[in-house]
Amino acid sequence: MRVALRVNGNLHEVDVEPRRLLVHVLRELGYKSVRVGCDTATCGACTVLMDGRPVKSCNVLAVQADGAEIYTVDYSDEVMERIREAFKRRHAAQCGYCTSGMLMTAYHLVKRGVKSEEEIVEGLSGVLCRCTGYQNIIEAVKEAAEL
Amino acid sequence: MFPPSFEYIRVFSLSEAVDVLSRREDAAPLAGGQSLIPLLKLRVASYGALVDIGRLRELRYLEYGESVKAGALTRHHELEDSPCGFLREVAVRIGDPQIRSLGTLGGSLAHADPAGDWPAAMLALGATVRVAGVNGVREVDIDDFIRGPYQTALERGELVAGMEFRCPPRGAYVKFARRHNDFALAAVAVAAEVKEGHVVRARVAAIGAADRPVRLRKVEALLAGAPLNADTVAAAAEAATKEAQPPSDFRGSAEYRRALVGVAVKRALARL
Repeated sequence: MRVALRVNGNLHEVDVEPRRLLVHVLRELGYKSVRVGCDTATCGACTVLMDGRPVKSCNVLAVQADGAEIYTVDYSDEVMERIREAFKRRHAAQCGYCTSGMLMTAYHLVKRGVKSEEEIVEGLSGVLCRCTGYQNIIEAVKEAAEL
Repeated sequence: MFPPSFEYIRVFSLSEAVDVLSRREDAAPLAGGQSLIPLLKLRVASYGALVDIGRLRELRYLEYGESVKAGALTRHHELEDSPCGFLREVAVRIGDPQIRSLGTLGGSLAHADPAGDWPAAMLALGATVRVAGVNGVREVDIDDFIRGPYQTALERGELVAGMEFRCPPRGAYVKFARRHNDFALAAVAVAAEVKEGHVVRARVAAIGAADRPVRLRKVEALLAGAPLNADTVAAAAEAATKEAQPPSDFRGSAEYRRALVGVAVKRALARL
């Protein structure tokens, strides 16, 4: 089936088998920053924004995303740059595997005007980090959200 | 991992959806897919065709009036800032923000996972489920809708179109899980009316008290007309522990769940 995806502003039209998952289609289009982690909708490494909301792209069929606006971690604007800088300053990445998922959920949180640390913790709960611990990540999001 | 091959049928009206679903025995509806896709990937489920109802405007509504009318395609996240406090409490305890972006109310009810949050919440609310089929829409009381673990009153060719209920004047949802917002080990949903310090009526539903979400009717009977005080709360928690007949599984033993159901009742009532 022919599917149209706008990824980070670039329009792609691709033929996909209906059972293909969004994560695989994005990676084949060259967006390798979208990671396949647990592949069971648990770890959140594959998180992208789909029409403004974070989704786990390993748990979405590409055909469901037909016509959607997708942002991956390669997307850049002032808010994303601010979050990246905060992640660097706060040493919020160690092995880096969860980082793209963390950045995308952080972006959604900052964009929607997150107001408390509690909201940040809940907001990041769909992305699992197994090495730095979460504290530096939370600190980075707080800094980016100017809390 | 990816799902086994299926035919993808995108429908543009409810009548088209029920028509395809009633004609094809091997078809299943796809809404948000947040439970269905993992089952397909794990090859626990397999269908010849998936009927994508995710774009049906007819199923996408959310109205707050004397009663709340929610279309099947209402996403969990749409209820996170609901004017109805009880719905907010339930919505933020579901999975994680990503799951809540796509997962739907109708899908949660139709899937009827024994640990699903909405089936228990709807039991507490006494919701009426609107079921669409080739012969039109019929209304099913939630008490008759949940028939067992993963089993509902839906017949072949039917799907959940929406639900209707009153936002309870007082409500609480208390859930225990192994990690934040994981599938509930035990959870209790209470919808109640309280006047002058007395419980007028309360509906109490629990996850982890049976092989499916159930109402704790002895607890409800005990609460009706009782003063909302520490003695009543303690007696209700005790009654819940006795009424619960939890299953054991890898997440927790029956004994542990029984204790959790009691604690959840206590905390939920304390929050009313």
